[in-house]
Amino acid sequence: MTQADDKKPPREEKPKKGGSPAKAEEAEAPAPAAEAKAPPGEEAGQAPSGPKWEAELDSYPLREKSEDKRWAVRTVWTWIGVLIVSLTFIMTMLVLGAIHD
Amino acid sequence: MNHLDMPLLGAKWAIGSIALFHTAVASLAIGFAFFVTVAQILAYLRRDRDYDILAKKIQLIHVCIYNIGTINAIGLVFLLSGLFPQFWGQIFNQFFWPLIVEEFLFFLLATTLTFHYFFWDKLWGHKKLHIVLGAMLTPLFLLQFYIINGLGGFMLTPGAGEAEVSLRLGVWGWDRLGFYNPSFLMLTLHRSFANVAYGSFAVAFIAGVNLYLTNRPRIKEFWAKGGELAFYTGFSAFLSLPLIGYFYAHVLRNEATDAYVNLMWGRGDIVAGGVDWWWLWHILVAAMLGMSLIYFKTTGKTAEKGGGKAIERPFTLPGVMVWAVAFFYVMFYVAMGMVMTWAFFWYMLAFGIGGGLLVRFMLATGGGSPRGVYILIGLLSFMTVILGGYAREASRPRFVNRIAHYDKVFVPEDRQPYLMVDVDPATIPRAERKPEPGGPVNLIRRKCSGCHTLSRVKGHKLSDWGVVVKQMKAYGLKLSREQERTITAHLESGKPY
Repeated sequence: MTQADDKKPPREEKPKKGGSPAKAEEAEAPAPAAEAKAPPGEEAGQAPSGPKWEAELDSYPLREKSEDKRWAVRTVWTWIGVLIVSLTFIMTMLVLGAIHD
Repeated sequence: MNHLDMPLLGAKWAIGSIALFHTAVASLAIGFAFFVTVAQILAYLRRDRDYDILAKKIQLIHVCIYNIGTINAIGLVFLLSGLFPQFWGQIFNQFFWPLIVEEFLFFLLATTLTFHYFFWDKLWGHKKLHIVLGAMLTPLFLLQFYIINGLGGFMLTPGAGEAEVSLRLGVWGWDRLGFYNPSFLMLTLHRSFANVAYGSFAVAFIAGVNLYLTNRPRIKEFWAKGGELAFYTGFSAFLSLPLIGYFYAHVLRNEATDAYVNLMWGRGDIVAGGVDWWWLWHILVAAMLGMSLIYFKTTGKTAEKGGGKAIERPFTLPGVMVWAVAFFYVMFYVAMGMVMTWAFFWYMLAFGIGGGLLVRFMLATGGGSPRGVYILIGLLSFMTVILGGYAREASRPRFVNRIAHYDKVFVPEDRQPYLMVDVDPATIPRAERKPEPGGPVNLIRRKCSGCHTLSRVKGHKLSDWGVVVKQMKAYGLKLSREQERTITAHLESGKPY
């Protein structure tokens, strides 16, 4: 976890191939609006700005898979593998336990 | 003194208070896990960051309370081990392997929860993977619930016959008959849905508080959306609870008669300080039903600006469904009134209508903002969890001499040597069953409470009892001729019972 990662500007989601134009526009629309929008509450004469996360509300920052840290992705995949194996084992024990005393 | 005790509180209240704290915290964890997944999926489908940020905030609270709940549970185990060693030693030997699995599930849960929260911003390129990771919490929680409810159900309904076989033969490690006891299914269903309702209503509470605390329009919109989703999710789970509770009561009637009588008639610790806490619990539930239905009825539609056509708001119920649910539950309470007393029905109706009127007033005076409703429903939900937990434990027959009260199946003097030394169970002498208490009074109390409360027995003329008892036999009451004569004679005499 590095500071640099947090400061990287989030990339908006790109429209999927074969998606409808309306959906593509909807996906693209927040990006220019988010970039052009002034931080809320900081326009001339307005009350002090709100919490930091208020500015994040108008974007859903999906990005390319390659932009995620590899170690984080690998950790999660490994853990999900552990979960699946563990759950399979536990369910097998429960089923056998329901049959046998 | 031949056992430990807690100063001031005493053993019972020490266990009770730490157990109720655990109920309040652990149940929230399960409800939060489910809600977070719902919010994340919704956020992803709609590409709406509001629900994603809400999910992250709730998950942070979840991480904190999970830790608190774990420490508290360890404290509960310490207290039970020291204050009720025989009970604890027995149940941990009888269900050793499921409890080992339970411990492993807690480890899986804690790690999954930690990864899900702390990797939130690192996986925006793998958002679906992140959602799946969080979604795994729900089946993990339900599995650990499945296991602990096997023990919990056994403690209340060990099952006549089966449990005696288990304990007499000395089943160690895995007791299938004891685990899959009569109330296991109902307890699991009830707790699972109740936790989702409780967790979701708690999110609504948080949203309501924040709607009071902020003036920023965009933040208000954020919390209003979150509160709407949370209220809808909570109410959807809440609807199932009275139905599950009704079937749960049927199981208790047959398998845990002492507890059933204590609950339905207000006996034992159910009545404390002059208050029947079980009735209070029902009053809160009825109020929550009335509140929720009027909330959905009132907030279901909103007119567009400029007096345009009314549009349906998200996460609301259509009006016809509100009326259908209201009608269904009125009929449900009529059935409850027929089984219990009509006073019960009128109380529930009054508080249901009162709750609805209160919500109408709150929405009218709050400028249409449901923040007060969210806060109130969260508080009432919390109170029902605490009262429900209290009622469950208070309804058990009282502990006597600090030995677990399994006097129909458990024989402490015989069991102790078996646990401690290598003894052939076949050589343990069979203890004599305590005889059923005799006399017409005990006969009436036992036989006449199978389908309704004893208060119904009071409503007839003395000369009518012969016919009434025959009617009850026609309805399915099993009485020998001798028992029928005894009961009829006692009731016709007008003597108390």
